[in-house]
Amino acid sequence: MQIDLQQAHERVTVLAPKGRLDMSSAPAFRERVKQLVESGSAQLVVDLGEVTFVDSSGLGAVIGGLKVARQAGGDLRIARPNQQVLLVLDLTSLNRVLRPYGTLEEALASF
Amino acid sequence: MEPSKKPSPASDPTVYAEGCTAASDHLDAVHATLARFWGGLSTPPDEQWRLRFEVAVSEIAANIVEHARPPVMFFRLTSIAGCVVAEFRDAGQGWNGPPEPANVLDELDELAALERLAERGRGLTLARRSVDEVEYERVGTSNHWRLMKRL
Repeated sequence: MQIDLQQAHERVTVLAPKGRLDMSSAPAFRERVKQLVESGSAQLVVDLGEVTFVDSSGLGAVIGGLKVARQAGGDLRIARPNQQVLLVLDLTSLNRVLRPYGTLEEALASF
Repeated sequence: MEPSKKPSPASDPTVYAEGCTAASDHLDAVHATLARFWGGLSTPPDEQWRLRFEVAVSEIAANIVEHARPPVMFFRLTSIAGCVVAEFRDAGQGWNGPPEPANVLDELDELAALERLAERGRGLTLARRSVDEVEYERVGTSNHWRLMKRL
């Protein structure tokens, strides 16, 4: 899975995965988040604008990223989820811990 | 292996698509077959309906590959009067998971401790909440999964 990185401003890093975030790509996503947090970037926004589909493994990887970021004193927000992502967040009630932001700007401003 | 689509015999249901996947490409094949299946319907269900069905199909496919680990998995999507059915067959290991998935809402009642929030185990919950029926049966040395969602 391709995961673009962008330093939004000095404190927040934006990860922009592309394609499906599923059991095939979740390990790479999980590892990328872990590397970022270990290198000192614990304020993260996951821009889901180019993610077409998320399954339970993908959700698990995002939850894992949230845990790692918070354990390091940071946080993880998600932005621009499509209808399918909103659906699985709703079905699992994970929208209660991973509040989706409609735009990248809103997610960045939330820090 | 690319998913295949066969002409629907007169005795068969109105529309169907089927695929055969190797472990390395199973998810691509499942998604490609779903897309062809929707395209073959004269009146596809609305987006929310399709998304729910696709979530369930994807979760079961992933479950099969992860737990049964078959070299090959066969699946078939069928539109019958009033519902859509997805069937999976594989000769992998039998399903030994819990008969009922953990209740996600119960889990969330304990969210005060984020570290307790599970990173795995939501697949069957998602599938069951997305379609009307999820059935599993071990037949001889084969695993049979059947998902049904009413239109």
